[in-house]
Amino acid sequence: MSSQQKFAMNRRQFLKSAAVLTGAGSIPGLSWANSTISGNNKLAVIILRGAMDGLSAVIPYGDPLLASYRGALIPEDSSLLKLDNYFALHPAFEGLFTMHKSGELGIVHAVSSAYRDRSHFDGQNVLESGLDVAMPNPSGWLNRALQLQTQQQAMALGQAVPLILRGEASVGSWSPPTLPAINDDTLSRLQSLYNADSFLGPRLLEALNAREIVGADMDGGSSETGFAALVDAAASFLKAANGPNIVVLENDGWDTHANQGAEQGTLPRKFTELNDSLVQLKQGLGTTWQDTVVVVMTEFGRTVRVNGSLGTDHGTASVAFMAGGGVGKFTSGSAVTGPWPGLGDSSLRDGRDLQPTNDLRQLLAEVLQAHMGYDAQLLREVVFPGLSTTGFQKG
Amino acid sequence: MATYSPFIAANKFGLGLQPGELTEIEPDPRAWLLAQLPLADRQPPRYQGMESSARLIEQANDDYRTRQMIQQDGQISANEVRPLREIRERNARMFADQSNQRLAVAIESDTPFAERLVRFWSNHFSISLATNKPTTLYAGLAYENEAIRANINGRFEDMLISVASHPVMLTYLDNISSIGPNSPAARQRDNLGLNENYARETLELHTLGVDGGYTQDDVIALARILTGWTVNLPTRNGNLPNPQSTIGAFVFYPVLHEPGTQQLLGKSYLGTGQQQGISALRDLARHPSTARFIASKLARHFIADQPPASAIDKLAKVFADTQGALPSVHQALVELDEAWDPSMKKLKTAEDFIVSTTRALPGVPLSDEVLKILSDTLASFNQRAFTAPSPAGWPEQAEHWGGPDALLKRVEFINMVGGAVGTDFDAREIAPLILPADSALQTAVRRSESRTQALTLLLASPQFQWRA
Repeated sequence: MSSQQKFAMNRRQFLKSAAVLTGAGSIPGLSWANSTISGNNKLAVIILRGAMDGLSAVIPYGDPLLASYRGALIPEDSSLLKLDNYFALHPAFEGLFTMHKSGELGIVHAVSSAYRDRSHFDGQNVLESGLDVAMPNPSGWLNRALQLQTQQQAMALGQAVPLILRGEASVGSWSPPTLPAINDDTLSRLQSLYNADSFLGPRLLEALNAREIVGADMDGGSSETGFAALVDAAASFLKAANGPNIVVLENDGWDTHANQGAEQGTLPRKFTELNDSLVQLKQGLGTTWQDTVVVVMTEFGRTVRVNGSLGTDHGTASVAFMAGGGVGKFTSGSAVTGPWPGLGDSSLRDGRDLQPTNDLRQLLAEVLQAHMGYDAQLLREVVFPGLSTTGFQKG
Repeated sequence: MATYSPFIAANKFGLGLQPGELTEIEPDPRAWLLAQLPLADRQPPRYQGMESSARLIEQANDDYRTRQMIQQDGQISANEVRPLREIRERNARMFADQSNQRLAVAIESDTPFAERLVRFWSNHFSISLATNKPTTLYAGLAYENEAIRANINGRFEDMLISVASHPVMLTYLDNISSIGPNSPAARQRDNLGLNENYARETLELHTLGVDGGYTQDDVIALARILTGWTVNLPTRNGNLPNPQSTIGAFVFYPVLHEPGTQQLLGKSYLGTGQQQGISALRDLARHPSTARFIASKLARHFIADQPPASAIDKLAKVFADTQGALPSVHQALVELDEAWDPSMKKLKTAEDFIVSTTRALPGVPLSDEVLKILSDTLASFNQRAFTAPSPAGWPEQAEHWGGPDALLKRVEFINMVGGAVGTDFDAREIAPLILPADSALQTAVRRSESRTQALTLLLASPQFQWRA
């Protein structure tokens, strides 16, 4: 059997098992959403854990109040990557700046999930569940989206499956292999033991399927390590003819309570990593970049004022990025998308945080609808239950 | 009336059965567990002679300053190469050692329930060394012993205060850089002020829980109350906060402390310096929300990801009735019928899995080389000691630990173990000594083509992935 044939067979097995595992069609009152969109459209979601300081990422440098709130955190004016006469990207975002010029980057400012308190853990719970409030053990919004369209397949880059992908629909996960492979006989004996375990059985099967796809498409794997290796793998998965069309990556380390830095330091290093990752993803995807939307989001923003240790504490609204070939349809044409709440004392939420002007779910719903072919009403009923019909505010 | 299975005692409450242990547990599994409680604050033999956190922090601080000094001018002169290399090597060795020794203690433990309790509380008051806080790099294990283990037979409030006055926690959650806006220090220099991080996590993660009924104003009040709780290391101007105190130890530094009365959860706390914080922490520990929050965390760790409400209620009641006497709470856990319900199970964390695997293979020597392999494996499973990704500690849910890729990596690890030591063991003999009878597993092990495959099937089996 040629490797091509083997692939085709694995693909069938994969779909078959996925269909069984999801209990496809079991949601009463729902018909499958239209499948008119071709399977070519790709979605990458990058979750920045710890709450990214949106005001350092996309700096409202044109606002004279900014220096009074956080003078110590603003990079030198000459180093700013100015988008217009009010907003600038942080100097670390050179790659993003280039993408922005060519219409491949959308910047949404003053956006947040429905969450309004300041706990990371509840904030991430709401961000990933897509609900109004934190719930114990909810399902993830992206998993519910998978349940609506069985031709979509998702992969978590990392050993664990994050909440955003948890739920009834079966998903894969992958991280670089570190140990010698197991012989097929032992594996098949183990699989029969695992078949009897309703929790672990399907998960082992997913892992074996993922290994098959990436093992052949990655040519022996990436030379990168850490997050960069996962970004390489994400590109390989999205490009693979029989791979998943949705990937999720997680990036930690954004909780900058102390010495976050202006031009250099902890936060600028994180910005560089994010910038390089998106550039790397674009390069890795090649022409597939044109069919891809990358969403970069975080659980909430940080205080407008610098705190006592040259950092920032937990806040409310932050920035979301969208990158890829087709992001033009979600942006407003101006430098930054979304109404700007202003920095005046009375405009701040609780006198301390950037006021949100957009619900992140509206943006995500628009991406799922326009890019991934989802029905708007189903999105509001199943993926983001109770989401208002106001839509995403562009300007 | 519950059935007290020795397997549940050792595999769910403990760290995994060692072959041979079963006969000791079988007569009275509950008594076997309860007998361990008085020994829980005992220092494991491997940790004897370990340096205090103060000494380790002083050393790490010295290393950090030296390294900074060498690197500050952007070039390294010939006579600086060696000290720099020594520091780098010490950094790496001290970090690895803590992880290796901690793993070995779990594998060797003859009081595995007590050791699991220490780890539960250590994870409740989680710290990480994998942050940009170089002064704590050597002191993770010392923190666990001094703040957690030493208080495990006391009251919850004693442990809470011990944690709150431990340099590693104060550094990890930035309390050392939180300064009262009206303190003497802030009056001298601009740009000094509060850092809310530790106060928020104390309310959210250590005591009341996120729904425990506090507001942003309470976070700020507690942050103000805890200003001045810091570490005795030289400040910016080179002076020690308290020259009479041990370097690297906790110190209350009035210069940083916010003066005056604070309102926390509707109660006034007079400006009494350090005592203000001690009173506030005691009240937080005694708050009904704390009893519930701790009870639900214990139940989630020891019973099931979604534990029955009845179990949480009972634990919360014991916690409240005994003013948080930890031995009583731990005993109540053993006495819960729900904990012995065979339908309630927990997926092993990566650490549980590696520890229980090694416990199942007696005679594998815990040499430096073996410990390094185990420790590196744990790191590759993203659970190296003292590197939890957030102050919430390691997650509990099966969904986290049982991701597809993580499972396959467990199987691959066992495949490697089987390859290395499979011929030394007879899985058919080990199986009934570590897991309850299971005909499918027994059959699979019996029909294996080799000893190596038999051991691989046993330890990679789904049955062995659960604490049940």
